[in-house]
Amino acid sequence: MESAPRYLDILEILARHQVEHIVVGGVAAILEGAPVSTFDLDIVPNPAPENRQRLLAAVRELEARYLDPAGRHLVPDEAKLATLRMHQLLTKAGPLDVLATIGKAMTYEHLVGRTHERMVGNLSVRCLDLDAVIESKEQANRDKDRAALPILRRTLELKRQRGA
Amino acid sequence: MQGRGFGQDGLLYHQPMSRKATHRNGHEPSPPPETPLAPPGSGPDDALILWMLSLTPTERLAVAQGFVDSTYALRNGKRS
Repeated sequence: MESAPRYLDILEILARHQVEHIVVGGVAAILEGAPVSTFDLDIVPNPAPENRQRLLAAVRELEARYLDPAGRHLVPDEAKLATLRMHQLLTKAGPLDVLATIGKAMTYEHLVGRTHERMVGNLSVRCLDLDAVIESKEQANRDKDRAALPILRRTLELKRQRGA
Repeated sequence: MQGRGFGQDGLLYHQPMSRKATHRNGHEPSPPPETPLAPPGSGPDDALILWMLSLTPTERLAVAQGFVDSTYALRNGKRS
């Protein structure tokens, strides 16, 4: 039986392994105050080799395997993390997407200047700013992205009005 | 009080929720303000957004976690 994603558990393990990453996508939008839902955690890690090693240790602790339509048991390794652009993982704490880019080609280096540290429980989480979340979803332009855009844009408007 | 729930399109709507979001430390986020509800289909619900903005990031994540917990409980045929 599939268990519900536990966002905080994943974030805690990433933090314990000191994985430098940006929380993007739906969870970033939620942390920024948008009332939307999501069923996975999306991150963009720092692609530096030493960070990739930390990420590998974290996903191993999370018992991650690739979401594989053929049902094969494929696990992340250093070569896959170094070469593949998108890792749709199933972990013991729920789905985790590890992305090299979001939108059209927004990399960690492009994004890191558009983030803020948010305290979530005892964790400091680097979270993509809402305007950048909106931009990434405009660029991705999938049905689910377009569906969420009106509420994301209105949330941003209200945040700005409040000076938040 | 009427609760809030998420629709299949991933947006929150005014629907009864089966369970309140709860922090790991047992605290619950503050309840939504008693504001008039926007008519269905009239666009984003400002009252709901303002309520979400009034929460801390920890509380916001707890709201989202409560929703996924409830959804999975329903999917798995359990009471949440």
